[in-house]
Amino acid sequence: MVMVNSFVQLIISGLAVGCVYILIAHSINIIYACSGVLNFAQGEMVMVGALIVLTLTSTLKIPLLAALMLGIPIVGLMGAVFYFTAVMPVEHHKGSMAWLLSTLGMAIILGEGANFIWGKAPKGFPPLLSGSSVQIFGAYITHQEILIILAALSIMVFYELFLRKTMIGRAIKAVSLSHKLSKLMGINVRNIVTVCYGLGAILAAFAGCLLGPLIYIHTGLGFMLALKGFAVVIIGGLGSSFGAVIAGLLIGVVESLTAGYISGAVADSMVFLILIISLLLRPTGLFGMRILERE
Amino acid sequence: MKKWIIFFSAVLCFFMFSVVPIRAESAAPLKIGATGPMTGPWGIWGQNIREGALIAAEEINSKGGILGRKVEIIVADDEGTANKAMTEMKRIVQNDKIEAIVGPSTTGAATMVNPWLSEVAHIPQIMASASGTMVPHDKWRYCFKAIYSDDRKVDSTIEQLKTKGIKKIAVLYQNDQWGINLRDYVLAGMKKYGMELLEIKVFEKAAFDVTGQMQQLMAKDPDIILCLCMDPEFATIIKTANKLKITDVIFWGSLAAMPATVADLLPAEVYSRYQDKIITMNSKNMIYSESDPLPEATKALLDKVEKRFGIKRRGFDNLTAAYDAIYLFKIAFEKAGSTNPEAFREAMESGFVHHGVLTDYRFSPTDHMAHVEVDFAKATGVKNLDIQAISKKYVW
Repeated sequence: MVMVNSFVQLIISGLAVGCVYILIAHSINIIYACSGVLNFAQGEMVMVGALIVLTLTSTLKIPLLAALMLGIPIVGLMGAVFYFTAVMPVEHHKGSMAWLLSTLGMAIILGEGANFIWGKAPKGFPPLLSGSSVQIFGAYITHQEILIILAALSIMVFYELFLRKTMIGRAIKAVSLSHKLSKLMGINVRNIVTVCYGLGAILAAFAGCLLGPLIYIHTGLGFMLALKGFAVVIIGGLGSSFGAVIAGLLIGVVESLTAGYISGAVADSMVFLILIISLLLRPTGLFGMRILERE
Repeated sequence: MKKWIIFFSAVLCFFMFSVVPIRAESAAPLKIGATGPMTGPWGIWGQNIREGALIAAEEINSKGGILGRKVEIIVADDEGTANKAMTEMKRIVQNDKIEAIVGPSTTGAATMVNPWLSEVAHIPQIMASASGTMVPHDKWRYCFKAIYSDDRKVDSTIEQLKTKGIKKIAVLYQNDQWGINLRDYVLAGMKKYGMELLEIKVFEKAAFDVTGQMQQLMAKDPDIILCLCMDPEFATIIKTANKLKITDVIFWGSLAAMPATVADLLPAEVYSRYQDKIITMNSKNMIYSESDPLPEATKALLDKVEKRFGIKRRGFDNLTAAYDAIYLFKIAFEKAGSTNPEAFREAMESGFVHHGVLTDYRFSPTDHMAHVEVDFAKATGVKNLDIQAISKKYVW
């Protein structure tokens, strides 16, 4: 029997799952930053993204890479449509929480719609790489997990570069600071918010396609992923990209260590215990900023 | 004379009005519920139950039905959850007025629903699934099981493992009522046969990752890891075993869907590596792989299903049990002369033997669960799984 370094094994497995949480958290963050809305349907976007790509590759027999390149932008468009249908009609109600109900409602519609289109049966997602594993620091890691970690980190780097170096990215940053000032600067705020919803959906779809080969895809997948994504966002600090990265990895590793050393039955509970402790000790999250507004 | 005519007319009217409704009632269909998850990750169980029940009902109807009444199968989708099972069960009992039920299909659902069915609704019931559920014959008076019970299968299986030289076992089980019950049976069996439990771990259904649990089990150096899980959880666990290069493992399930769903959820090369290590312990039919010859009766029933529904079923334990359950109802109701639950119970307990497709059934006043010895050694999965040969070889 090959002895495996137990602790390192658990850390590496946790990092891979944590990277998926990072993508989901970013997809939630970007939407929150530009529109002030916590989109409760982001988990469903993860699920729908994976199912669309799966349909393209398994039903329409499009090669997986091409299916990803085609399917993920489709989910991006869905994100934009989501904004027009679920958020825009209620955003003029200043101070109301109508968006909460509308995004929750949309999550249910997406879930039921997916049930109608794809059925509730679980589906295997084709692996992007072979299922075999390699040994690193005395622990096994699959090619798929390496891909998840590298892809998530690359996406994060591109995402940051996009925000810093491109006109649209800068406009997103401006809109996230102030809609009024952005309008004064000539930025079309509505268009930028639409782009943010599209980007959020794209990140969610990426997360679904990376996670799919590790587990199996089913239409109930989104709910728990959305909860974990929100936990990561809140622990990391609302709107903080760096916070989401740290919190995502933390949550993934804590889950893995808990399942290994304590019990798999309490791994999910541990995530929310950390969330509660984090809220008690640091309500703004690990890297969240306290914003003071003048009357 | 006029008085006599009035009298005879009255008597005639009395018979007409009293007899005609009885005839109408007897001509009314005998509604039998068939419940289970028809949709969702475990939908294949319920679909199997529905197909088995419908085929049996059609056959019985073509020969005059039960007690002269046509059998009508009322299908309800409980989505595999206990709460939905309760709601659906109440709906078909109260709204559809079913007189008997085949179901529910999961141990969790049975634990919640069975007391109500037996003690409140008094509905004759035969379970074609939920193998982890024990049937206390004194409490659930009208409940019987056509499917094998996990405790009996586990005992036989653990005994066989011992004869194959396995001494140290690690266990991974899924955290639901079925998994917990199975875990308890396994622990009791290991104690009985003097086997050593090295480590036990649990996982949540639909968990994203079970590396932590599998790695910890492996670290204890067991002769074998028993994974007490259901499909589609098999797929996640097999992927993890493949990642950790664990080969000394038995994936131990109790499902109708096996092995079809698992094959569909795994990459082909991974499935082919592990398919002979997946065993399901339900029955002679259930322990089955693609290369296994099927018993003739099972093959004939599966052909009927394919012809009738256009579906080629590979996993079928619930299907054959549901098919047999409808015939058991026919025998018991006709012995009882009615669908009265008390008469049904007496008929079922009378000790008749029914040679079903799944197995031979015989119930008694103290045993509401079909008792059949499981010949574990005949199981293809185990035959192919030469435990001693692969022992201690974790890396290929």
